[in-house]
Amino acid sequence: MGGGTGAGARPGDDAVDLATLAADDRLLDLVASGQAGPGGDTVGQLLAAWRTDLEADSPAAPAVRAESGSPAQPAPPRPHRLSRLMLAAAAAVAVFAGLGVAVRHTGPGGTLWPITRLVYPQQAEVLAAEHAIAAAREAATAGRTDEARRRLDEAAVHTARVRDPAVANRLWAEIDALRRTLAGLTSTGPSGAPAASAAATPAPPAGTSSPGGLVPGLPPVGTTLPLPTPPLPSLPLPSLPLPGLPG
Amino acid sequence: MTLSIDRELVGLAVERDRDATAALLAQVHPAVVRYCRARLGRLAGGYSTADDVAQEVCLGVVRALPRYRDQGRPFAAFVYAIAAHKVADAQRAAMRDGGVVAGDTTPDRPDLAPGPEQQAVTSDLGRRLSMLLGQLSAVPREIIVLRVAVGLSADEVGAVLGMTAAAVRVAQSRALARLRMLAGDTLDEVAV
Repeated sequence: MGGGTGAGARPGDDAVDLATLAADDRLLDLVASGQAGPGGDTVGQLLAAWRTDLEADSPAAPAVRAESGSPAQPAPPRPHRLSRLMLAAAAAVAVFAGLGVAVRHTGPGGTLWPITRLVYPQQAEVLAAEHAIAAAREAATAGRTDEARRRLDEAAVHTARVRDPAVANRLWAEIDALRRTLAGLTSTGPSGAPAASAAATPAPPAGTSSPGGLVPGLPPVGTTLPLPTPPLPSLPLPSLPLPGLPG
Repeated sequence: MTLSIDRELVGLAVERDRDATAALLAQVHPAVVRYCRARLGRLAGGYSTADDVAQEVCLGVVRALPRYRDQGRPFAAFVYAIAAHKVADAQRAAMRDGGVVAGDTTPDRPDLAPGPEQQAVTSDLGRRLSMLLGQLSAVPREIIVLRVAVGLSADEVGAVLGMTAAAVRVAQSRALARLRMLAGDTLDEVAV
């Protein structure tokens, strides 16, 4: 039996010498990388032809029900799926922490939140920014504009740490849109800057050091503006989806 | 040549990140196709059965991903276990149905070959090698398949099959020696 059991050369057996071992190993590496074996080695040529034939008309990989239609995009225009899971984990912790209930992605057995925060700090910043933006939007809808502004400042701090320019630009756009909306709610600010001029300025580039992410024309952070007292019937909020919890 | 799979990518795919899963499949699928084609060969003149099995393997990998734990065993071994299972199932089904054509005589119609004759020659030589491989015992044959068709290094084959790299090298050399002997006997025969 020339095939052998893989147990290694036994003394007295058809032992294979070291030179042959090395040469055969090199030959197999060569053929596997699509190159032909040395001329004169019939089996090497056969293996090479066999290898080539295995790649004839290769089928495409199966799709993974991609939402956006193509399998892998460098910068998805929506919150990254990992962010959704992290947001769910954060929400779950907040709800169940007091009950001491073991939640799937938290605790010693769970892996998602603590590892994600440590190993994927960028994702944690993106999540925190999105979370703050969502909270700001909710506060703005409820008329709590002071809180909304604080949340936006929070979001800006996190967004300033996001290194991916596409993701950061998206976050800045959401922050700026919300700030303009809030500015529109306060018709008499100290600078009297109308929302229109703020809308004309582009979002600040990612990675800038200004912690507040201020849009020129709006009052500085911390300024107290007179709050509108009447309810807000038709709030022109941008129609951006809230990062929802996965089903 | 090695088949390296990014562990971070695997981790993201395990956590149901769709983009990571798609990227992982795109990396793994070609090797799975070559493995299935190498093990099953051209049934009824083509690779469509082998390619279908490869598709099943990839879907099986995605379904099994949540249960994967990186405990020192390489991801390739995880994929291999699923692939070997599905190939064995397909072989049993083919034998049961009696639809296996052991060695077809007509060369395949090439679609995108550099030249029809070159494709036919390559295919024919490949078929000869496949027949020779069929005369090896299971483990040496599997080693050649994993080394040449899938493209794993001797170390990686050892990790997948639970052997030392040294044992793999001895076994592969023995397999090659046997193939050379068999090739000397059969090379001049007309393909049947």
